[in-house]
Formats: sequence, C-alpha cells, structure tokens
Amino acid sequence: MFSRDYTVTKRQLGIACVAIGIVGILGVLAIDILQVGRQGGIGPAQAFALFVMVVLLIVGLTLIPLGDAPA
Amino acid sequence: MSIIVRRLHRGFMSAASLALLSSFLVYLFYAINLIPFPFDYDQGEGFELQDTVLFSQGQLPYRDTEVYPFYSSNYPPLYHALAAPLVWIFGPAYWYGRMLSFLASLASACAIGYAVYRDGHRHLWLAALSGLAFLASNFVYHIGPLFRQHTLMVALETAAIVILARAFPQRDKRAIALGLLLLICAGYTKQLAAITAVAALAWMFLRQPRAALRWAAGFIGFGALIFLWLNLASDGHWWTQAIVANVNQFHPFQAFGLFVLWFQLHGFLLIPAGLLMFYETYFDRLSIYAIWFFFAALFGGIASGTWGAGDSYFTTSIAAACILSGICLSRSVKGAWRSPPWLRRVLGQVDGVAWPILLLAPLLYLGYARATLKMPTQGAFAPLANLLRVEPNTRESFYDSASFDVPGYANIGYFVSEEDEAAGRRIADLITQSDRPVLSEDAGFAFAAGRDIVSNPTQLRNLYLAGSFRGDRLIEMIETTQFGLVILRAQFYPTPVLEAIGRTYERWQTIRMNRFDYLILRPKSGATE
Repeated sequence: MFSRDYTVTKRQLGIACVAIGIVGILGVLAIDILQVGRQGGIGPAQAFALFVMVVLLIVGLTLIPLGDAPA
Repeated sequence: MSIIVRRLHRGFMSAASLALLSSFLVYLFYAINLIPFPFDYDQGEGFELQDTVLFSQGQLPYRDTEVYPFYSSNYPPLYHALAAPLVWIFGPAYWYGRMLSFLASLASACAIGYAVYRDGHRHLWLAALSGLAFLASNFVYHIGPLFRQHTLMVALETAAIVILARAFPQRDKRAIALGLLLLICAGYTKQLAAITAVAALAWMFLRQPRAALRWAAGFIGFGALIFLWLNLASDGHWWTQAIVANVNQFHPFQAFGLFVLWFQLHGFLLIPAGLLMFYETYFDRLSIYAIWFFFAALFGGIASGTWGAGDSYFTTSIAAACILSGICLSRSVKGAWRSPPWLRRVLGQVDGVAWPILLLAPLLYLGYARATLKMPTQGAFAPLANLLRVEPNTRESFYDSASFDVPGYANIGYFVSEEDEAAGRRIADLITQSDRPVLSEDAGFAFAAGRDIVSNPTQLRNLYLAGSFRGDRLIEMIETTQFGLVILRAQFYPTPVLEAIGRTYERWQTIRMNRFDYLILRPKSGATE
C-alpha cells in the first residue's frame, strides 16, 4: 500500500469522510447522552458540528462511486 | 470571439483594476497614517512591543505573573524576535512592528498573485487582481498595519503553501523542507498556523502517503524540539502562558456572525473558490489550495468565536480564497479546464462558454470591490465620499461596508488624528507626574513616559479563568495604593483585580483617544499607603 508512488483514491477518501462523519455525528450526539445533568438540548455549537459532520458524510458517500481516481 | 466581447472584457478588467487599486490606496494611506502613531491603536499592540523589547534584552516574555511586574506574553516568539534588533537601533517604538506587518501583508498579496500566475495558466492581469483582492479585504485592512503578529503568520503560511503546491508533487526535497520550515516559522509566529500545518500535511498524505509520513515525522519532531526548548528555557512558563492561557471561552454566536460577515464581504471570491473546490473534489485532484481553504475556513472560522479572537482569524482563508478564485477565473478565461471525457460530452461546448466568463471574471472582482468598500469620509477623502454618496456608518469619520455590530468584528480602521496623539501625550504626562508605577491596560503610555510595563490585562484574565493566576501580590499592591494611577480602557483585568481597583481607586479623569474612553483612576483619599 505504501509504495513510493502510491496515492489515495477518491473511494478511500470517501470512505474516510464517511467514517469521520459517522463517528463525528455519534460523538456530537453522545455529548448529550453522556453528560447527564447538563442542561438539555443541542446547543448552537453542537448543531454546527452536527451540520459539518452530515455534510462530510454526504460528500464521502458521493466520492465512493468515483473509484480509483486519485484524490 | 467577437471584438465587442474582448473590448468589454478589457473595459471591465480595467474598471476592476481601478476599483481594487483604489481600495489598495485607502489601505496604503491608512498604513501611512497609522504607522507613526506612538500609542496603542489596537489594544495589545503595546504588549507586543514589550515582548520585542524583552527579546532585544535577551529575555523571554513567558514569565511568572504572580510577581512584579506581573507581565507575560501568550504569543510565540518569532515576530518579536525578528523585530528585536530594531529596538537596539531605534529604541521601543511602534512604527517598525507596524511596518513589518504591513510589509508582510504585501508579501502575502505577492505570493497570492504568483500562485495564481503560476498555477492558473499565466494570466498576469487576473493574478494581479487576486493579490489586490487580498489587500482589499476589510479583515486584512484591520489587521494589516498593526503591531500584531497575525499578518506575518499569514504571509509565512501563504509562502509555505505556494512552495509546497509545486515542490511536493515534484519531489523537490529542498523546496519541501523550505515549505515545512516556513510552516514551523508560521506556527512560532502565532499558534493559529497549526490549522494550515494540518491542512498541508493532510494534502501531502493524499498525494503520497509514504513520503508525507516521513516529512511529517521530521516536521513534528523539529517543531516539538523548539517547543521543549522554549519550555525549558522559560522554566515551564511557555506552557502556562502560551498554551494554557490561550484556551478561551467559545461564543458560538460570535463565530456565526463572523461567518455570515465573511461571506457577505467575500462572497464574490468565495463562490468561484468553492466551485473550483467542487470541481477538484469530483473531476480532478484536490489541490493544496482547496484543502487549505477548507481547513482554514472551517477551523479558523470556528476559532474566531473564542474570546479575544475575531475577524482576523479568517485572513488565512481569504488568502486561500483569493488563490482558488484567481485560478478558477484564470482557467476559465484561458479555456483551460481539465475534465473527464463524459463531462466534456455533456457540456459539449466548454470552450464556447468561455466568452460569458470573459465578462463575468472582471465583474466578480468589481462586485467584490464594492462589497468590501471602506474609506474615510473626511479630509482629503470627503469629495470622493460625497461623489460616491458614501456616508460614515461606523464612527463619525469612517465608512465600512461591513456590519459593524457583529461581535468580534474589529472596531478599528479610521484614521488617527492629531487630537488622538495629543490625548495620548496627556495620559503619558500624567504618568510622568506620578512618582509611583502605573497600572495601565495599554502599554503605550508607560513606554512614552519611560516607566515599567506593569501587567498584561488580557493575559491575567485568561490565566485567572484557567485557574493559573491568583494575583495576591498584585491585589496587595493595588490595595496599598502602590500604583500612582490606574488606566482602564475595557476593564480586561480579572474580576478580583477590578474589585480591588474599585475599592481603592476613584475616577479622576476620562481622556478620549482613538474614540475610546480611557478612565484615569487615582487612589481614593484616605486609601491605605
């Protein structure tokens, strides 16, 4: 994989974006679940982070079909 | 291509050039007006001068804030170390730090123009407009000629990215090393450059993971060694003062307001920049500029919402947007898009749509020049302001097309007057008349009076909120009126310090300088000495 001329593909980048997006979404939502006693509801910073993660997830999903094209 | 379209293109290009050159002239006059001003214009400039003075004396500014003079810096050393030799020649003064920053902003513009010329199919005119567009930004205008390290950081970041964009794909080891060294320099100018470093390494990983990991190991190792040396040389104060004290409260609405303002002012560039990023994401390889823009806009924008941050945190993303939009428009005008065969079949006449682009490209820069219009409305500028029907919308003598009430947006930009300098001299004279040290939120007055620079209020505040400052000795000195005067501008000191001041000092005078009211406090009659 790590040969001298190896380069990351669109598919791999897409998978990485999907993975970060999913972990990020779960992480943002987990803040409310884990921090018991904290004032409830998703705050503006969380909402923004959630938005970014959803966008990243969507971009990742659209990159996967592009296959082995270099990223 | 019809002659009419070409003539229209040249006409619009000329108009865009004139508009952006006019904007540059306003910036130049602003710098010429501000650079010699001998007091703080933006709060904190004087403390950057104090850092420079300490470096010129061979001392680090990362110190114990529990002992007199309760001073420390929260900024990395490079900018002040570069200016330190000028202290030996000229003594403590604001002009050379401001000049250094102003020149750094010009260097950024040159690097942007060069990148667009080199990577945008050598369209010299659009390359020049891209560089001027950077200088026309309201955010660049605010921070450009200040005695602050931010502009130098952006210049170093931009130079590093422009070098790496060509060097890494060509495996040019010397140039890669130079690019990464400039990134380390940027990081040791201001911590915010870490975002650009991550972006550059991420792009390198996408291109050649193996080489990227090797370079990253060297980059991180070298940066860490400097970090460790600074921490050892300062007895651990580097960590407390430059890292712990920089973790400030986040205000989401400040970040949101600045994101909106950033788009309102720079939208004419952000749209072509975004289009090129989209194109590279799906139809070409991602360039370092696209990755840099993404990281700088997202994380720089988020960081702008922290206490003490502001519009300047978008400056790096503006540099990236100027490069991306310039390349996008240059490629369009030159008809030089690389696209997969299926897309060419769908669009059919890619070259055929180039003529609307010939008109659109300069119109975008014209629109941008209008969106970012700012100018004084008095003095020599009054006839032009009247002609353009521009009225002041911020202070009584300055027009700024931005929404001035956005939290975090710099409330500076107007030209200083003789009255401002006279007011500063009056405050400095009051210090001179006192036989005791003075506690001041601006350092410039103490510099003018030749007195000790005592404390750095925002630093003490940040340390206090981080649980790293008690201030017992400072409070004791206040309560025993060991300070002849206290000078407040924004009451940045930690709450216990302000409470001690309130108990022991009373308002004596209010002096207005740079449209800010400086409260001059003296010991209450009967206060303990």
